[in-house]
Amino acid sequence: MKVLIADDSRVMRAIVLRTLRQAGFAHHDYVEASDGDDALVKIGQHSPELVLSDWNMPNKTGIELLRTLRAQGNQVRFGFVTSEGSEDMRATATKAGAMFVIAKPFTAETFEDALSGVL
Amino acid sequence: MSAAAQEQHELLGEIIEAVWASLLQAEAVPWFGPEPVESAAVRAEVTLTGDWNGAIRVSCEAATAERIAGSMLSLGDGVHVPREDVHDAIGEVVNVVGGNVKGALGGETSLGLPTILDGPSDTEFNPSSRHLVDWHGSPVVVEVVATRAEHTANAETGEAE
Repeated sequence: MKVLIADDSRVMRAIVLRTLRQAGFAHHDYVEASDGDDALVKIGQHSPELVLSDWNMPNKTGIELLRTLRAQGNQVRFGFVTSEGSEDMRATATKAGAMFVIAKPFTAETFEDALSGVL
Repeated sequence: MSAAAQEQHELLGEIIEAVWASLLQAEAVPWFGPEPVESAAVRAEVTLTGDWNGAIRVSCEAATAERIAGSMLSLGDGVHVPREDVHDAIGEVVNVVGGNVKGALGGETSLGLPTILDGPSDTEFNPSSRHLVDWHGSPVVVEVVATRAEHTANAETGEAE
């Protein structure tokens, strides 16, 4: 399965990848994007089956990315990995079509719980 | 220290433990050595504005920041880490600490983007809570400061939690 990781922090993308591998998801193909616009382009190029996106990013936030995808008719499975996991944000994410919100700091178990049945 | 301030201090400690375990894959061991020297420091700050106004700061020596960044990037000991990645790494640490402090405060509060500076601070920073964490023999300082007296009072009475 192809998974796109969108985060404007290279270090955080590396940590998300490390944690996915620790959670037993090392065998998937991962594509990285450095902001919302870059993610949109790479989603078009790579057609991932899952998008893991930060919320706060330049050049299109995570929620703007999700809304743009849905407006285009793209129903790719989408989850947020964000440093803010308030109830308001979770409700906004769910309403926009996100499957889950993983709050930082996360553990391998957090990813296992959120992604079991998805990956 | 009041009971509310003690509670706030302990909460910050719990956030630090979780951030260290997740991002740095290390236990957050308290630092009991000498007071850190700021002259060679990397400082990352993030502000909170709204119902509660203040800032979170993470600072440490430049060499310590590079080692932390190397650990976050899963690089081996002694591998040079570009300054951009060092700033990115320390910025993410303060960003995640700030996001969790925001969540604990509740209310309508916005988390700003992290700013990272090299060298000593030119502004006074009087933290309401301060933790010193040992990173392989060097101190890392994590501080919270409230910038408005009325919100400090609210936080200390627990109204902002």
